Amino acid sequence: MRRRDFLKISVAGAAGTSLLAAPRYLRAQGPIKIGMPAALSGSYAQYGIQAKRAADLFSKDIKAKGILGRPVEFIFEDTAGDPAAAVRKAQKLVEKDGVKFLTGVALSSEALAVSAKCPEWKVLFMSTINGAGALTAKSFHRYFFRVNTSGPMGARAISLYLAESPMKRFFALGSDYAWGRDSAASFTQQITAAKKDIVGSDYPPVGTKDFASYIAKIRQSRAEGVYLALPGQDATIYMKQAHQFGLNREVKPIMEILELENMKAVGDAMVGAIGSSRYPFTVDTPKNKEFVKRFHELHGMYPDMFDGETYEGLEWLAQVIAKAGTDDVEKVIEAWEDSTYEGLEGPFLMRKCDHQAVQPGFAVECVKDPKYPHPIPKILATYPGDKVTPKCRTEEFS
Amino acid sequence: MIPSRLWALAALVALAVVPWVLARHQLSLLTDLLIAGLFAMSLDLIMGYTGMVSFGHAAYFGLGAYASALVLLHFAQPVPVALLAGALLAGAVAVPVGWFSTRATGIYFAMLTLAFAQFLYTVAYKWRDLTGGSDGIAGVPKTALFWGGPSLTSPHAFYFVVATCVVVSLFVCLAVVRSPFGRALQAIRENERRFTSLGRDPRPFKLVVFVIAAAFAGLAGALFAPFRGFASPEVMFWVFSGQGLMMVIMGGIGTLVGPILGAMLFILIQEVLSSYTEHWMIFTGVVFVLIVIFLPGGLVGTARRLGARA
Repeated sequence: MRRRDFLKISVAGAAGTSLLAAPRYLRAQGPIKIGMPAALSGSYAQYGIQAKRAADLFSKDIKAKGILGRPVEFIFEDTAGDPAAAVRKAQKLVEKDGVKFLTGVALSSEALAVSAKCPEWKVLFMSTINGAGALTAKSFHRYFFRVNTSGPMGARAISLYLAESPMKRFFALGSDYAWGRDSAASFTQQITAAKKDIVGSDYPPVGTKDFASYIAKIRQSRAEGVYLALPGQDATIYMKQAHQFGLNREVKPIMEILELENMKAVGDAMVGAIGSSRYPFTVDTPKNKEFVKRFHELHGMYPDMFDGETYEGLEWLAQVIAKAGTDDVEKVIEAWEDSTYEGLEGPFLMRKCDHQAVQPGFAVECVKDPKYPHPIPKILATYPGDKVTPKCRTEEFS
Repeated sequence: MIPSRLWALAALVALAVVPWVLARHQLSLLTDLLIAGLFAMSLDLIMGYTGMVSFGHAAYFGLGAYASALVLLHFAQPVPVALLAGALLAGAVAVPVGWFSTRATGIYFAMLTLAFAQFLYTVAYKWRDLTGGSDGIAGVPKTALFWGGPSLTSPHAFYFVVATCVVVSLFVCLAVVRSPFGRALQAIRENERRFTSLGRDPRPFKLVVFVIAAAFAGLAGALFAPFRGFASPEVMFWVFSGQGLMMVIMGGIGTLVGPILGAMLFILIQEVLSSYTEHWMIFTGVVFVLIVIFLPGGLVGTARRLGARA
């Protein structure tokens, strides 16, 4: 029996060792590896999947020439939207796979956790999704770059639009967590500065299924517009219920981010909602038209906000690596600072002081267009980068 | 059958030698496994030896993580101070929670621990000024071993801190369960009524072991925060408590060593499979079901049974 015992243990041991000792190749001139610890399962999977879709298209586009003549390899890891898993996965990508660039992180909480480790790992973190203002303010360090529009920048764009609208009274409804509360606070501050009134605010918990009491409260407040910072599914549920109650006709819905995902899920009940968009696929630039076409060919759908923003980030990163002539992280950082890039929706500038990409901001409206199978974002106003980007390393605007 | 002392010696030697042969990533993974192992072991103390199934053990891991993160970030104290703070806070909070929860038994005990854990989770989630809310606390540094002592930033140094904590905790827990106090706990597990009819009140025993288990979970959390560099409400969520139960059952209830191995297996499955598929949780579930059906007693329980039959 001792032998069987031994066999069992040795089999278990061998299995354990082989799991630990996966191959590790560190060729100097191998592919340029980009690690994506993205939320591919769980409640926030739609954001990770968008990042992956963009990476798939980018791989296809760059396949022929590569970066510096070297092929590009993406390594995906599923974090399920959990910061602890995100750090573990990122550490695996850095230490085992030898990636020098991390991107595709979906949630701000994950980004804050992973970004804090990057100076220790000497790895570049490129945000293309994360909105938290702190990333380029309080928590900023030189290994962090944000290509996307941040949360405060989105709030700024829609506030600029509302400042010129005839609406005077607003209600703020934000999900009860960091993003929802920060956005509502930022909106309140900017709307008050524009001499308009916030007549009420409330913070439903994440995952609220019944918004009836909030809808009643909004109606009672006699607001003309309701500012909504609700994540993915919560926004979908709210919009459907507000439509059933007839609230959307009385009180204009103003979304912190107006996502295609919501428009597809809610359908016609979403028409008329306005909001900011970090990347509306309807932007009328030749480069974007090309991109939308290629994206549609590959995935059979129109690109959502983070499809576009992630693609831009990857293309810009490739451009910067080519400019630096190496994938050495320190040299890439130097090459990226103060560099410019022609994005899908206009010119981008990477500010040296806080590594926030200065870019145009958009106010959009959800409209129906017979050419598309679902409602689409129509651009109401475009604001140049210097109007919507906060002062360096702050979340405030001049 | 190889005597267990020989096993223990072999394991100790392996723990000491292994870091010098592993690649950096494997060493990080091993550190992670040991921390999860310590957490699962602490749960086994109440679950396996006293028969109290807690659905809220992650709360104490989380309390330890937050205490350690705050001490390291704001006071820049050496790591052992943070570890002590984590264990003490978790133990201290477990006193009132345990006092209430041990009034009930079985499923009611489980529900009470779950309720308190979710309450603590909500506090961590909402108290934004202290805990950073849903963003958590990031950038927790690995400080020195003692005042003016060597820094623990190298992966090897921190690994040895973790390994030492796990080994010492294991021996302390073994001593606890082999002491008269530990025997009393097992008597409660086997038959609480008979224990009462022998003239002893089981509640003080249950309360004390609950607090000890919480303190060790807090220690695991306190190691986790500087290792990962952050603490967030997710580490207190009931899902993590549930995973703790799975680790204990997979490794072997009431064996202390088993849950450490169970935790290692659990994390390894997750680590390896989630690189290939988003549906890794299905496989974790399948492995769990297979172990429960075909290996009752978990990995260690089954190994012991086979050993005894030889």
